[in-house]
Amino acid sequence: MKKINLIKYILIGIVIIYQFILLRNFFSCWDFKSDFHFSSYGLRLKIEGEINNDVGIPFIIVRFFHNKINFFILDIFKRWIFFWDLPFLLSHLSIIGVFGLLAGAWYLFEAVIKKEIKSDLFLFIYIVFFPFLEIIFSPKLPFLIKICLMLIPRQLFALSGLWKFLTRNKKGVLIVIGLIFISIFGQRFFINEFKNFCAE
Amino acid sequence: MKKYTKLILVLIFCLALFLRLYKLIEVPPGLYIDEVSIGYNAYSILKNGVDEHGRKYPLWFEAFGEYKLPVYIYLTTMSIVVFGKNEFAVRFPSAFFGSLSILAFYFLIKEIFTSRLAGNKFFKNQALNIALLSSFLLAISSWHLQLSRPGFEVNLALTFFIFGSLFSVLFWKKGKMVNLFLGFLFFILTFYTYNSFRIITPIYLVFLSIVLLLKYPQKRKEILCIGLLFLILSLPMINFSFSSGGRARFLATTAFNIDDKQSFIDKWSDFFFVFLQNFFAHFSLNFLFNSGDHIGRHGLREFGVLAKWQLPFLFLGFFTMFKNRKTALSKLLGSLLILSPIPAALTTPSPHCLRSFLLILPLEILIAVGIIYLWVTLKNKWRISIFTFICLLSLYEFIFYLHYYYVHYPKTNIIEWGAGYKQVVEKVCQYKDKYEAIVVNNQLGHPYIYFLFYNDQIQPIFIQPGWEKPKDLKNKPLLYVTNSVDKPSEKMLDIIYLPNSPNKDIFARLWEI
Repeated sequence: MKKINLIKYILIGIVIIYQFILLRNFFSCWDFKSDFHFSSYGLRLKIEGEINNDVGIPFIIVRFFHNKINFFILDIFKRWIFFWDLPFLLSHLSIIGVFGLLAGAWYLFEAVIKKEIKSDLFLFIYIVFFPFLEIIFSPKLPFLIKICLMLIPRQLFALSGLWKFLTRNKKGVLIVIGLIFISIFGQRFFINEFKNFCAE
Repeated sequence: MKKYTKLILVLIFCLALFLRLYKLIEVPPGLYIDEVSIGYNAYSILKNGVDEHGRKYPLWFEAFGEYKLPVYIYLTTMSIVVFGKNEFAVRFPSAFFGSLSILAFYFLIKEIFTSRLAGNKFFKNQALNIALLSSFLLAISSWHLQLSRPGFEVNLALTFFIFGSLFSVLFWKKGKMVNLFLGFLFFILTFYTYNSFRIITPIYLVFLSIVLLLKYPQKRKEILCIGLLFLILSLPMINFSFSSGGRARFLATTAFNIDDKQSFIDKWSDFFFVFLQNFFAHFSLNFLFNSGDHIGRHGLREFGVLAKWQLPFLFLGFFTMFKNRKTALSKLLGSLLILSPIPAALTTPSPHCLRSFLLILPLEILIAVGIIYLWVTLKNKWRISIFTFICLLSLYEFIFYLHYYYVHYPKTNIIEWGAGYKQVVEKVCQYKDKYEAIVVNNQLGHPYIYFLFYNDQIQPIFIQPGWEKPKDLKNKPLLYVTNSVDKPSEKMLDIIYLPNSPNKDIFARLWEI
């Protein structure tokens, strides 16, 4: 029994080290790319551009669709999706981390259905909503602090999901070993991905 | 609710039909080159019994370096009989079968969710609601609308696939051989309609046959006979798939670098990870909710393949299904989710809306399950306010989409749809009698097929850049059509602008040379 627990700790340890290596790639960045940040100037330009296509449409209809509130919400949603897009997730979580994230969300869903509130819920809410702060305000913080505030909590949530998966599944150890193997060997296909998310 | 089911279903079908037929000629603007090819080949088959290359009733239609599958083209012949040779006739089969698929989808889900496959009280009790909601979501889906208005063969193949699955489920439930026969017949049609189904259908049928053989061991002979019939009917396709013509499409779009210098392990690990990357790209939130596959003909650049408000319900539906993962229904949905992007994952570009179109079915079911789950779970006082908000949000997003589709799309994506060719042919018709010959520069794209489709009485000479006027025509005036900005003579006859273009972009010029 103890031996199996040791294997689980080793596996989690490997994932922690691996995710730290992935995170280290981001140390060479100084900020996220502009795709991740809202720009009021860009929004104004966009609205004007779209209105130009509405020749012959009553003004009230044009403004009903092309107004700042509507475009602001759409813009924010679009950028928020970037933070949850698979290539971005793979850049700092890898395949095993994304699996952990999904597992974490699943166990949380199970707990919420049973009306059990867990600390994971707060971490989940934090990682879901924190990107909005980055998108809207894009605070002028050192990138290292941004990573600590944004990416590390995600990795923690993924690790917690992975740990639950390991402890609650009979075949968990085998599956996690397989996923670590695929993650490490497959990383050469994703290793340069992080550069797509760094500001030039 | 049961009382009104039929009425609601009829309303959903009418809505689907209206959304697919309204302004069908104008939006998308112009006929895309593949649609024109389909239209002309269908017309030629109808008129002379041969395709554009003179082959008698062919099974494969050669078009622009590849071969088109036959079902959509032969179906368009019927549409041309009714509506004549025009844009509407080319698009009508897709729009009509697209609407029909909504009905078939309803019956398919109803049959599956009320069968033992559901294996869960929640699914069984909510079967009708889930079926109605799924078919409604499919009717208003931007992905389905976008691909069922133009003459895309994939939409027809999807409809056949839904019908095939419906009859297979009916056989599974009732054991009537006629259902199995019809089911397999529809599956064969998918095989001859769109390339992706050349991969999906055989895999699906192998699993289906195993499941059916296990369920009805006493009908082993009949099932095997129908399987054999399918195999015989598939032989031309199997034969074609291994021929150079059949492989041409795959070789032109394959995602894999076939490099003989690579070691065996490198080759296969590359293959595996490229496949994996492409496969998961279809589940990327950016693809699903932000931008689709970035190909202008497959969607609007401001919209993903799913509506934005559906995001939480997709996850909720996924978790609900995962909660009941031991049921056959969850396994069926799971396998459909895995199977659907496989053809698209083997090719490039990836993700690809057309090649992974089958994915729309499990996704719409998951969203419907998510919505119904929330409806059932919420307490009364919350339910009304939350769902009123969701309804308003979804309605606004849908109207917003329609505004973009009907007002913006015909202007922003006009080039991708081959608009302008019809106007060129019409203008050439006006001038043709005054000139000895008509010369069209091939830089215009593939103009010959547009001339054939819009007026096959005109027989222009199609030329490459660098062409020089032949000696026998030296002193005779010719009508020259080009999109080049060069000035071939002093006498310009006409300018053809891109229709609806806000900046009055020039599509072609007519010169006398």
